[in-house]
Amino acid sequence: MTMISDLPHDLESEILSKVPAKSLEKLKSTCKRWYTLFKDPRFIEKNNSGSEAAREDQCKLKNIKVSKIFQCDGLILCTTMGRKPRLVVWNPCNGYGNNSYKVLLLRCYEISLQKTYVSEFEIYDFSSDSWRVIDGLAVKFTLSSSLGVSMRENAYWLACHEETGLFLLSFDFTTERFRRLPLPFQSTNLQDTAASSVVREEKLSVLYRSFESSSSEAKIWVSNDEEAMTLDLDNFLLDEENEVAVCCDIDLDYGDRTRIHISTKGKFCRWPFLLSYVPSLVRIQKDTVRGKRKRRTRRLVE
Amino acid sequence: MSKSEKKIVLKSLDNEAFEVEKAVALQSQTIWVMCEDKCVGNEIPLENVTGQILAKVIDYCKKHAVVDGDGDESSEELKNWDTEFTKNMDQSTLFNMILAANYLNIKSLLNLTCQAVADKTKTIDEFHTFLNIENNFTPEEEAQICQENLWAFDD
Repeated sequence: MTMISDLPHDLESEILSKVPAKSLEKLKSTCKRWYTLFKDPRFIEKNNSGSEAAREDQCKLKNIKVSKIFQCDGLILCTTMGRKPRLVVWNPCNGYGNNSYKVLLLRCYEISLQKTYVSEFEIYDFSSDSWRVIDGLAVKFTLSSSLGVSMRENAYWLACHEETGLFLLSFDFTTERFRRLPLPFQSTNLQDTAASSVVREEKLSVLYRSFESSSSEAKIWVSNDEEAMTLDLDNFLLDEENEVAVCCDIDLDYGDRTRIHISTKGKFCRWPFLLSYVPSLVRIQKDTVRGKRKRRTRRLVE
Repeated sequence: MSKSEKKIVLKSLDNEAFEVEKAVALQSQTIWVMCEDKCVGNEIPLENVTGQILAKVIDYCKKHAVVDGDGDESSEELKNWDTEFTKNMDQSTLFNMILAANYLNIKSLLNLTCQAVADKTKTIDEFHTFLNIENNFTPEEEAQICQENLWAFDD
């Protein structure tokens, strides 16, 4: 009878790469070879590329009340509630790690005498365990209250320019530079609904609903490449009464699978947001990071 | 290529001969290279694959060759066929299929069979028995590793 031990090691790792990361985490104490294999970056990448988004996640973060959640590479960045908010980086799959990551923090505050708003970006680097300020954009803008998303080496936000309206702001974590990208729709009305999301860690999507249109239909765009947005999705259903939005589409790249996106309008968030999460074996250096106090001031309509 | 060369004979380890369409057999990169190099005649000996396994591999290739050729079946149907195909295979057959797919270099079949093994194994105990892996950690080392991934057990 043929056993896995009869297979060459590359075939054994081929099989294991198709096992969900959460199960692999439990299997790493099986034997030394597997323990080493699961730490191999090439194996992690292979495992990530084939993994499906978590259908349900029962992980609990102990003693922490989470306010907002961001995700990148299967890692979760939470901001905590309370008077002194903290930043917590967490891998729900294995709880810890040691890779090099950066956290970008935006501080918006009002200079009350001049009635102007200032946006300041700070970046935290896990490898140096320090914060530093980054030169912002020359363009005057405010970020929408929807959450930013990260994809590959970039972070994206929907930002609003006083005159030209919404645009997409991207930040490249490698070069530490900002870029302004066009959106497939134009919106200058602050009451419009817009949100961004990442589809399977490889495509950026943007949701938009005009406040003026009487229907509750929203449209979603998915990027074919990083910059160009093309319309290739159906409409999106919004249940205003229950404050839940659901959208489904066909994932042509992965065997025509139907995906369902659910977004909820939280109490503190007027705009819906979409969040996708894929468990991964990737590691961060520490399980908690103490961040500077975070202040966010919403743009006021004058 | 003359018409007589449209068919090809595959001979298994235990000397079982299978006559198949060339288009079906050429899904195997290994066979494709052999034919390309003209190092074999119309009969190809496959020394690593038994007749029982080769028959299954040919079934798979026939199914996939037809679909690629005329597009009669939707990819969903094909996917369902793939699921049925591996559903009742026992562990030993699956491993032999993996070895055959690897030797014959049929990437989609290798993916399918590896995925089938991964899917059939759900719990840790299943992994240990199904995959027949011997634990070479000392109990102390194992305890330390379990401590590392406390969160993963914390359902």
